[in-house]
Amino acid sequence: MKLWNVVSPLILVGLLLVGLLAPRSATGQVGSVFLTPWGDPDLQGIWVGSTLTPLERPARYEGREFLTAEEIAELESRAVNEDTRLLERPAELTTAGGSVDWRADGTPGFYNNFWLDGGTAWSSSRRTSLIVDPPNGRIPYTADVRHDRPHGMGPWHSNLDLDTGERCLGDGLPQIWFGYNPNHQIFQTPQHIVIVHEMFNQRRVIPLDGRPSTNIPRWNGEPRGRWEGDTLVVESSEFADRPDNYRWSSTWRRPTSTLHMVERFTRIDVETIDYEATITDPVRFTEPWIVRFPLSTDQSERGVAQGELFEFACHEGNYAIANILRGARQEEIQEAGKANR
Amino acid sequence: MLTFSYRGRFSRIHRALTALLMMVTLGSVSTASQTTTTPMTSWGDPDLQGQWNSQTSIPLERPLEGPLAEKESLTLEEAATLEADNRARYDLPPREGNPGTYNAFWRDFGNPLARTSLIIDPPDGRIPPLTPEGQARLDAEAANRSTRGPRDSPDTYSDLSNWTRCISRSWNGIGSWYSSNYQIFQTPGYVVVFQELIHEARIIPLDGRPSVSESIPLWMGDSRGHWEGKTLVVETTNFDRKTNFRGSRDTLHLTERYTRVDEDTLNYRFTVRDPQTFSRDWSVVRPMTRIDIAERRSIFEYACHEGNYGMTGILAGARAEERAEQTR
Repeated sequence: MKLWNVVSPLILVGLLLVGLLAPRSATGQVGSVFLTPWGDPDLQGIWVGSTLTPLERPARYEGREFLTAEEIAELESRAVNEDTRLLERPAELTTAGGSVDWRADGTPGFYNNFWLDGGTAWSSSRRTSLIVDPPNGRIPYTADVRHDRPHGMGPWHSNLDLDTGERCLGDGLPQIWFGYNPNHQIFQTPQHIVIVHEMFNQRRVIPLDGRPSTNIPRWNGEPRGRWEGDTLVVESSEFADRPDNYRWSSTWRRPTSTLHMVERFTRIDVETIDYEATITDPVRFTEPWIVRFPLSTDQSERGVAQGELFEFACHEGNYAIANILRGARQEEIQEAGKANR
Repeated sequence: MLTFSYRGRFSRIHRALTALLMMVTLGSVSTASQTTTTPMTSWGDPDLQGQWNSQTSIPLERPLEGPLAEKESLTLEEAATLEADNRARYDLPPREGNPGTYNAFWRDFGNPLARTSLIIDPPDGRIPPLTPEGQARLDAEAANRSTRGPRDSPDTYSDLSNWTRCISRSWNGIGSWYSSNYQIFQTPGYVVVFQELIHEARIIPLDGRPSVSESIPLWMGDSRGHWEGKTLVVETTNFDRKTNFRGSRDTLHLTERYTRVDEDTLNYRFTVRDPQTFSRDWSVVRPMTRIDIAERRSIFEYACHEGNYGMTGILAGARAEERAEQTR
């Protein structure tokens, strides 16, 4: 029997009680049955955001907001089969220069499936993108920003040419990256929310007491939280704007002084938080845009690794940055040799 | 960096610390924790929450010479004078030929403690002798290091500490001379201790779950907490062997005790157990005082090497010294 079958009758009873008793119902919303001992909606737990649904609507789904249940079943089944194939693939002996991840075109490949934790589940909304507004499911970049220099093309003159994620500084907010470590642990006190992101070991301390802004810029902005009915609303501004020597892997997540972000967390059932972020930055976007997706405590339902959060080891034990720079120098030497011939 | 007026709080904190240190000295902290003033959470646990600072000029070990030698306690007047003298000293110009270090502006105001060492056990206030095994290990490390030049002349960034490299301070019970700030959050089932230094959060489950496998070493170690009366007791193991607390590495078994003494005071003690490194257990007290955003004291993002060139400056300096040696 699924947990939900046990819990749902309890929720019904709870809803009735809350409807009768809870002061929060003054907002007109149904009170949450998941309450902390001090009466706030309870968002605590380890939440996973993994999903097959892309952030932006891919060209192949243009004009389509939703997929059919059959299409999703097919996509999920394909993901499960691919995971299974990679898992059951016999182990191969690897040697320097002969890695199994070496591609046919001579490039060095990418993480194999062991490292990735992207999940096997499409978002329950059946949407073709996590972006719900604008209706075309695409980020509404201004013309200038859309034609920014593409990421990942070099030149690799120094460590400063690598993006902030590669440099272990973080990728910006909101933390949406489903490749690996897509987990978030939420803690609550009457005065604060603390969100620990497994990715980059980042944590956000969000005061709920309405204190004024310090006007001190920070990498992840300065968050202020409040309850609106059963929804935690977190507004962040005062993002550190450091254009020099910091490149961001995603233009849309780069912190800027003009960025304003409003996030909403609503616990809708025992396993689910409805998460929504509205991103406003008149310099980069022609209009505010909204990304929405459910976070789940049920790791198995998302097809990801199960358990608690561990420390994020960014470049520990690997030599990627040194090798990227060394490779670039090697290419320069080869180019110079060609020119001299 | 924080600027604030210390004067208004001084007498209040002073009184609390006087009472606390008397109790610590008399070994009767457990009775102190039973005062009726201990704040409680709404779910009935002792409330340790808030932002706390543990800065003090009192050294970890009792000095062998000077005004702190050969006695256990100070008067509070002596302790306050020590703090004031140190602050004045930070602003003195450096010796000739020395580039100097951070001045008083960068340093936290210290809590005056009526002790001559933070170590309360053994009674001599000193870290106990190393075991032969521990000594041999540290000697081997030092020998390995010395083949690459003197200790203050690193060959490469990996010769510098995990802290200087902005990787981790690991569990850090004795703060530093700045940013010795901690913010504690509690929920039913967890305590989170957030360290301002390198902005690291320790997540401490209280539900009695077993430790993670020995094969998982962690920078912060693996912590488990439980309540003993009004005291939060945290046991931590699974430290990564690259961590280093006074020579103790992956074999460190740490026991910490957090006791809220009154509104503004958190007594913090810890015991180091590592029979492979130290000949006996040893214990430290470092009480914390509450800091308050209303007094313009708060925790901000820790900027480790942002906007400075310390790391490249250190390495460039070491290379310049080597060239100067060769020329001679």
